[in-house]
Formats: sequence, structure tokens, C-alpha cells
Amino acid sequence: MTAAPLLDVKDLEQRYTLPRESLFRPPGQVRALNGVSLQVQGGKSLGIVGESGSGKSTFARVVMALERPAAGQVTLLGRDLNRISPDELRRARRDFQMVFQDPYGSLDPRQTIARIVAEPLTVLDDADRTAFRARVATVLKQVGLREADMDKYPHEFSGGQRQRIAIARALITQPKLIVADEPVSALDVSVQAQVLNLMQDLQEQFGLSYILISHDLAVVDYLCDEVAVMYLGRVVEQGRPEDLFERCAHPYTRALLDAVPRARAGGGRRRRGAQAIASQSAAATGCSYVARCPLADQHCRAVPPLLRRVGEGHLAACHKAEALMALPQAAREG
Amino acid sequence: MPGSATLIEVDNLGVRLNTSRGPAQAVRGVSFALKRGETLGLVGESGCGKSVTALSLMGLLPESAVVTGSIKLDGAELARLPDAEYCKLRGNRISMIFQEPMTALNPMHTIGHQVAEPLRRHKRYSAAQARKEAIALLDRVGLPDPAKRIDAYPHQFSGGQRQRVTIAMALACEPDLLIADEPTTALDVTIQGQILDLVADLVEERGMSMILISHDLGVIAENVQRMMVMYGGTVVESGPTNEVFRRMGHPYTQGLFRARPKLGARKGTRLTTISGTVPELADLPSGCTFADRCPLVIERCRSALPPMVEVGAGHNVRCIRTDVSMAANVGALSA
Repeated sequence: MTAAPLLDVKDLEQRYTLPRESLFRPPGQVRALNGVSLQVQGGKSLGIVGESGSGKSTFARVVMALERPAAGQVTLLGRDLNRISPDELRRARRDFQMVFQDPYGSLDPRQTIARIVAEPLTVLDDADRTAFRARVATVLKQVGLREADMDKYPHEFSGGQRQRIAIARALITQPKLIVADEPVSALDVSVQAQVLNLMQDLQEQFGLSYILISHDLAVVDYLCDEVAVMYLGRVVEQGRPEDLFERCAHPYTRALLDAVPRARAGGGRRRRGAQAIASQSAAATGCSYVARCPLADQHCRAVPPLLRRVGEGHLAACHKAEALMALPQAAREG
Repeated sequence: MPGSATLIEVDNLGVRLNTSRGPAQAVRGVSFALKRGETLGLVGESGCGKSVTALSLMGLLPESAVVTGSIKLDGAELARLPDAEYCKLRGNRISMIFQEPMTALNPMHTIGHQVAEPLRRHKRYSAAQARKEAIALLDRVGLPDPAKRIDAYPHQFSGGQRQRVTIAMALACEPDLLIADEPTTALDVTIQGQILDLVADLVEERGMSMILISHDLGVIAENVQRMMVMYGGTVVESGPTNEVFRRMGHPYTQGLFRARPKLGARKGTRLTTISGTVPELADLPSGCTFADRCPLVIERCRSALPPMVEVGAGHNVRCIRTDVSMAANVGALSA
């Protein structure tokens, strides 16, 4: 590690209380995050993959300081986001912005594009309002829209263009970090590629860091320097995309990779084993993946595996990581 | 397959919808035939007409829609059939699985009630009979503990389980044709695999025909025998799935294939995009619908809709520049 990381997340935990089921028993809890530690270096991107319920969106919300974690720290540029005053936090938000999944729901239909894109500036009290339009025009050009689009309303744009507007809104404060929660999953394939290329260009141009949350491994592979695979609120494997795809060390990563349908001739159908879905609320001993794991044995059921180093910059939480890495790896595509 | 009869035959289907921007020709000149037990995939982006094609087979288009051409099920004409007649077919001989299982299920009724409904309606089962059959169906689609959970409401299930319930509903009367419209788009990738496996097993087991609609070339490549690529309301490429992926004749099919982020491609490789956006159906260009976005466009493309050209056994491409497009041999990448 050379410089201090841009974002340093330590032992993050988050719990949600379930509705009370009995008058006399305490209500159940969902452990959405179970001690997640991750770092993002300036100008680099971190991808987070996992199924629904893996805690990836909770992670995004906690990193964005939209929720207070039950335990743990989120440090951005040396400031602990949960320790600073609300006023300081509001000003600190200039450095981290978010892009949401649904470009239809995340833009107010009653506001002009100029107002939507300038909104992050209006909450930063030191901003000079007279210069807003010029800055809006600049970011709109950066995301490939025209200056004339400023006075239009969201319904006049297609899904891909709306996502560009959402990215422009995130860019206008010149942030260091953009958290993007499934930014392209609502878009058509041809438009998805345009938005992904744009995100890559903007990163090169401004030295941005992304935290990209996606269920699509190929999207994460395309845009990220490092990938963390989450399962039931824990990081089960972490490393460079090529490590994960060529030497994957956790059976869950393997299952995710195998499940991606491959677009090629003679594909045919590959059978996948039935997999039970584990519960988030049950506090079980041993590995949380044990119910779905084809390699599980007695040791896995008794002792929870810790996230440990299995290669250069490659971590995995599996007792059998070495055995798994020696297996032939998932087929590449195209 | 000689000997097996044609189940559904669609000939020159056209659908005109009334949109806020005036009448739009959502589907133009779509023709295909499907034998019993065959599977067909429809691929394309939003607004390409794939869902409207499916809804016209189901007789679920809005009343203002104008349908031309013919849809024959076992030789009987379905296009412009009165709704009362269609009600006897829907859920009985033709069933559909929708994309979003939460909206396809009624939140106010138990899943048992909803799975039993087609049995009560079409097969005139008694309540007890229908309930027993519903439990058997839910068991077949892999819902855990169906006898206990039959009286639960949709919100008490996960997304994958809800999709299993809608599949049980669609299968209740053992339909001849199953239409699956993006059945796994709302689901996680591991659950997607399970649901597609289940659908494939059931299609094989019951000898149904299936039309699978998806925007994902991977899903299509692995799950259907034949495929049609749609763009701007027309079929631009059709043929046996393997042939289409091997040759890949239409510039749009090639563009779709190139635009997908691929597993194992290194960071820094750029995706090849299709420039522009999907056209509005109300203002489609005359001539080839893809002309405005096509890298190979020439003047002649814009004058008239190109005819289907046969480029291989049963493999047709609606393009007048296949000589150039196929020289690029994009399909070789996928082989």
C-alpha cells in the first residue's frame, strides 16, 4: 500500500429489524452486512457482485452515508463519515455522488434538466448560483448531451439519455467517487454499451473512482480494477477480475460464473444443480455458503472460514480455496 | 421433423397500435411456423415488437389495435377472434409467463387460488380436485413444501419462488404453446439458470411448444432451437440458433453481439456500440428500419424494406448487404 486509500471501509455491519412476529419474543433481525472491509484507491474502480439479498445495495447506502451502520467505519479522504457533523457531511458530499439503477424513477419528472443536474450544487452553500447554467452546460457536453437539452424535461429523453443525465448530475460537483448501483441493468444492450464506454472515458478524463454494484459479472469485469463477491453480507472473494475469472477460489463465485448464459453457437443447455437459498436471519455456525456448496464437508459446517490471502491481491473465504483454484476454470466467452 | 404437425402458423402478421404520437406499426410482416415440441426464441431491444407479437398470439392487445395477417392454431384462425372465444384458449391451450412475477400475480389472492383458477375455469374441476392438482403442480415446479404453502400470499415468496408459481399457473391446463416473455429478467443469474432449466424440462416432458422472448443473446443461445431477431417491428434475421450464431448475417445482430460486455474481456477494451438509439415505432424510417444506425448503410437501403435473403439452410437475413456484413465473420467469434 503506497498512498492512503480514497475510501476505507472497516468491519461494516448493518442490521435491520424484522416485523415482530410474537408479542413476547424480541423481533428478528436481518444481518445485511456482517463485517465488510474494503478499500478503494484513487482513480481505481471496485466492483461488487452478488445476488439479491447479498447486501450489496446496503453497502452502497452505508458508503453514501444514507444510513448509519450498526458498527464499523467509513472513511473517505481521511474523514469518518459517521463522526462528522451533519453540516460537514453535507459539504463532504461534494466528493461522493451516486447513480441509481432506474433512470425513470431517479429524475423528477416536473423539473427541467438544468434544475435536476444543478441540484447537488444548490445544497453546497458556497456555490455561485449565477455560474450554474454554464456548469450544467459543461457536464452535459461531457456526458454526450447538448447544451440545448438543459430546458427540456426528463420525459423527452430515452432511457440511455436519462442515465447520462443522472451521470451528469453526479459529475457536477467534481466528485472523487461515484457509487453506481446497477447503472446499466435497465438499459437496452446497445445503449448499455454506450453508457459503459462513457463511464470508462469519464474515469480516464477525471481520475474518478467507481464503486460499481451489479449482478452482471461481465459489466463489472469490463469496468473494474478489483471485484468483491458478496454473499449474505460478507465478502467471500476479492481480487482483480482476472484472478476471479481465471483462478476463482470460492464455490459461490464459480456458481455465479457458471450461471452466466454464453452467447455462442453450439452452446446448448448446461445443467446447473439445484441450489437452496440460505436465509439471512439464521445465525448458523460454520460457513454461510455450506447449504449450497458442492464441496462442503464436516469441517465447513463447524468452522466459519475467514477471508484469507490465496494469491497476490486475491482473498477468499473458503477452506477449500486451493483445491478449487486447481480445478479447470469456467469457459471464457467471445 | 417430418410427421409432426404444425401447431402454430403466423403469416404476415401486422399490428398497428395507437400511441400518443399517432398510429404506429408495431409489427410488420412477421411470419413463422412452429411444430409441436419446437422452441423458438425472439430477441431484440425494447420497442422492437417482440412483446407485441407475443401479445397478439395471446389475444391480449389493446382494443384499438389493428391486427392484419393470420395466426393459425392447429389450422383454426385466431386473428380477430372475438374475446369470448379467446377466453377459452388463454390459459388452456396457450399460456404465458410474464417478466415481473409480482405484477403477474394478484396480491389479494392466495397462490393456491391463482394456480387452481385455470383448472376450475377450463377443466371444470371441483374446488377440492383443483386444490389437489394445484399442490401437485407447485410441487412439480419446485416450490418447497407446497401442501403447507398453498394458502400463502404472493408477498410471502421470493422473486424466484413467485416465478415458479406463475409457471405452475401457466402449466395448469397443459397448454400446447407456452409463451415466456423475459421470464428471468427480474431474477438473479443463479435463479435464472434454475428457472430456465425448469421450463426446458417441462417443455420436453409435456411436448409443448415454446416461444421464449429475451433481450439476452446468451439466454437465447442456450435455450431454443430456432431464433428470430427483431428490430423496428420486423424480423431482421431468423434461423436455427446455432446457424445464426455461427454466421450472424445482419448488421444489427452483429451489433447486438459486439455490444455485450463479455466475461473474461480485459479492462480497457472498448465495447463496440451501435450508434444512435432504438427508433420510435411512430416514426420508423422507410426502407430498412435499421438504416439510420447501420454502419454499412447505402442509398438503396433507404428506398424499400429489404427482402429476406437465404444465407444458409433455413437461415434468412433481411439485408441487401449480406455479402459485406458476412465477410466480417462476426459469428466466428462466438463459435
